[in-house]
Amino acid sequence: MTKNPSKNIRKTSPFILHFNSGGCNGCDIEIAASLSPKFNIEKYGNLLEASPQNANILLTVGPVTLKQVKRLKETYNQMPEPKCVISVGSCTSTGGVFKGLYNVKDGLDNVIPVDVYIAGCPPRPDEIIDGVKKAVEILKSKRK
Amino acid sequence: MNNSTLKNERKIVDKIKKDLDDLINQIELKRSKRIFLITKRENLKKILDYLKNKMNCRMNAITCSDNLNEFELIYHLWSGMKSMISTKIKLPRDKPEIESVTDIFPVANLFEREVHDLFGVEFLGHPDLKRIMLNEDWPEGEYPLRKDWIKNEKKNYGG
Repeated sequence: MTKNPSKNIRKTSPFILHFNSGGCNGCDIEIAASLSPKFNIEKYGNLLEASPQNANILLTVGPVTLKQVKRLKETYNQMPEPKCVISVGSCTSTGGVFKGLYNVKDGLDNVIPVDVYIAGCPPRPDEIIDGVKKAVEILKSKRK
Repeated sequence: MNNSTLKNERKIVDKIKKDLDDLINQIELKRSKRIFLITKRENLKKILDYLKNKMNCRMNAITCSDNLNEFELIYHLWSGMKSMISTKIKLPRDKPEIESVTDIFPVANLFEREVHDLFGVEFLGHPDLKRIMLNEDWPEGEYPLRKDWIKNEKKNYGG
């Protein structure tokens, strides 16, 4: 019987899920730029995936509004193991300019465990690609 | 203020003054395309009914502001004659109640739910005054956009 090739593929090129929880769309545009041909995160095999059940990396944007907490946890729980969470932008990491407002959770790490933080408002597309490459390394170590 | 540039606005003001003189306390014409009617809450529905049926107005928004003495509600209507007609009313802070205008403008349903959610203004006769902006498990009786509201660190605000 031949070895299952999909096992190796998922080791090096896991799929990405993009989730917005109250961001201003600045980081979303940079993520879209990093997927586009100029920066091209897809050449590493990290395709954008619409369903959480097929993705291993969660790219999260925004300071996590109270209304999105339930939906974010549901999405996180649907992702298969091993999984890696990336917080994109300063709002997602610390709350940013929204910190202390009545409707936000002040950062993603108050809700779910985070593996990679990307700073910047918004971060540049190459920094996002750098973060995704780091997340792939973390996934490899989690798989062992 | 140049008279010739506000020709259209003055025409509207004259028409409103002629028809609704006893209902309106004051009319302000601050700049082009902006007309403010200041009135009491008992007269609000009659004025909106007139503006809809006679002036061909549509509702754009309901806004609320808090100056620690009273709430100021503003009903923003876009008239068929290319200007914004905004009706201002004031509500006492201890009893913020007003009749709903959903029977005149059905779209006011959403705006009234929003104002009720964030300021705690009661709209009497509204068909379904449930939450729209805040999360589902937000505690009752907390209105975050009131000026004297402070976040209680011991309380659980849901999420």
